[in-house]
Amino acid sequence: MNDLEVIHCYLEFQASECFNVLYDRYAGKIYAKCISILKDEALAQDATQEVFTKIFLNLSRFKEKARFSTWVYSITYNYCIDFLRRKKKQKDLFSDELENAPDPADEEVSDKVLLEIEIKQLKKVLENIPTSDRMVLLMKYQDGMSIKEIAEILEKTESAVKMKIKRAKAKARKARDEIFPEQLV
Amino acid sequence: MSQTLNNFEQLLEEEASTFDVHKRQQAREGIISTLSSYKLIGQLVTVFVPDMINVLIEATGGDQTTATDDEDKTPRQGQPPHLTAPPTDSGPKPDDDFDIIR
Repeated sequence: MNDLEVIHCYLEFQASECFNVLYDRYAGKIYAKCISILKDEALAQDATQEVFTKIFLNLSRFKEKARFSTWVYSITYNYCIDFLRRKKKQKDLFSDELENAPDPADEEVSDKVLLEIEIKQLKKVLENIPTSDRMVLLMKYQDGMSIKEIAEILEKTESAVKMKIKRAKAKARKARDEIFPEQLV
Repeated sequence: MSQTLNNFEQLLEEEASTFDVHKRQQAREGIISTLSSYKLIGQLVTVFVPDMINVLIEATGGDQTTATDDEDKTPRQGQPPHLTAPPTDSGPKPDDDFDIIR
């Protein structure tokens, strides 16, 4: 059964099997995202629980305009952004750079450079760039979200998101070059 | 159908596997417990809110019974509807179609 069939089954019959299917499909991924953003196992576990509760309470509001996974991950990102905002008392996690004018010195890094980094190195690289940069890279390369979808989640313009991704890619490459200098050609 | 995952997706799969059985079960029970609580609250609201509203209406001096005498609204036998309609103070509306007296 695909996600939509399971959702319809859950909404119609409230069957616990449907809950379990969706939970088993997404719990690990949501936990992984939360741990990647929040960097704490206990917080990530609590976040997973909260996010899933939100998902099931709002399941009837899922409009099927986007993929279910995109909807699930957008709830996850929003939860993490709100959590960090409350924790750091920071007005906007993404306000610092998005509002700034583009820096002409920023060099375009091709997708290939990022997609060829080994998994262990990638993990290290992502740990060493700011949370907001990590998030946009995960949205784009891990979740396959469009610029429009990312812009909707972050409540920013598409051009601001493009700039953010461009800078995040540059930071990721810089981090890779610093942590793994042997990779430099 | 096999699908090649990129390095970001592979990293997600790898990290997802660190959500061990014990944590997974703990979180599952937490969610089920929360959803059950919401369900119970919903059921209580469904059962008691209409009664509470009726009590409030009575307390404020209102009549909770609604008019069900549909037969009062239907024309009496043998009379055209305009003769049996209840009188109103509002008079004709601007949109009403009247013959113009020339």
